[in-house]
Amino acid sequence: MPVYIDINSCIGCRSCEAACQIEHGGLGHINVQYVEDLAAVPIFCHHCEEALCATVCFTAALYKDGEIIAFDAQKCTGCGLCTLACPFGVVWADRIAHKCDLCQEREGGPACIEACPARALSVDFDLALSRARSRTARAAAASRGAK
Amino acid sequence: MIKVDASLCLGCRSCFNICPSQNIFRNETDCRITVSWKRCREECDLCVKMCPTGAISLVPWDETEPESEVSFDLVACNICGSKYATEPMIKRIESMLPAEIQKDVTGLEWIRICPECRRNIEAERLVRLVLPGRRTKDWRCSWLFLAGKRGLYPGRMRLLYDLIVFAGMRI
Repeated sequence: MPVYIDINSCIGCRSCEAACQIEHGGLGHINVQYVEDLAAVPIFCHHCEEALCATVCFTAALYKDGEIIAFDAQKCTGCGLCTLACPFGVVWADRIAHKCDLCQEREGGPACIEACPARALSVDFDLALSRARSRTARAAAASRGAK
Repeated sequence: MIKVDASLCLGCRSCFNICPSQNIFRNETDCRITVSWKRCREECDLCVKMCPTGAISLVPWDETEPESEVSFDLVACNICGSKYATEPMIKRIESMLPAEIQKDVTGLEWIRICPECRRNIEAERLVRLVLPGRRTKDWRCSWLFLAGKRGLYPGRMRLLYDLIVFAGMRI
């Protein structure tokens, strides 16, 4: 159950970053990236099906637990291999690795979803799928119209 | 006493983080990392167990043996040029991951790119579909903004010309 982004609605306010940092004691896992000051998109862990961070982790501190990539802080040595293996650059490490845990201990789901004022984040897969489909359809229609 | 095989050491932070008696030091400058293992009499083998490559071994105490020290040059990111990792760490990740995902579909070697640039690339990939529409809707690209309220009178043309020259100077 990863978190999905609606790129069209994101207003780039970085509320999700703040909410994540408050939830995790100042060590957040979301980064809002800006593209040409026209679009903003929060980048966070995808909880990949074949997680590269879990592949390189030699103490198995990062492991696949059902649908999510879970993190065991007791086993982590903070070597920093996972930060280099993540293709999206969303894992970072100081003394231990820091990675999105989908706020497992928190009641009421991830903090970023509740904090988002534009409702750009959701856990609803079908909603994300229909949005992606309509976006692709619109882009295809626009390119056909331009010809 | 700790003995380190310099050819196996990755320069990662594992032993430095795990050592309970703070006997392992790590000095990180802009383009070089130096890890030094001090003489250690503790009866503990955490660093030996937690080394990803098994580079650390324990040997009997010897006064004449020098302290182990390894230093690495940092690798620069292919895009922004910031130093972000040591060469052995990159090599290890390249050897552990399957070969077909080490190259992007665009031919990009993403392992040689720093995490910051990876996030930027991912953001650019995600907004690729919405960006052209937003560019055309952007008021700074509109004809009204360029021409102004009173049309392209000579002073306005001069102003636009100066602006373009100024932008060219900044680039």
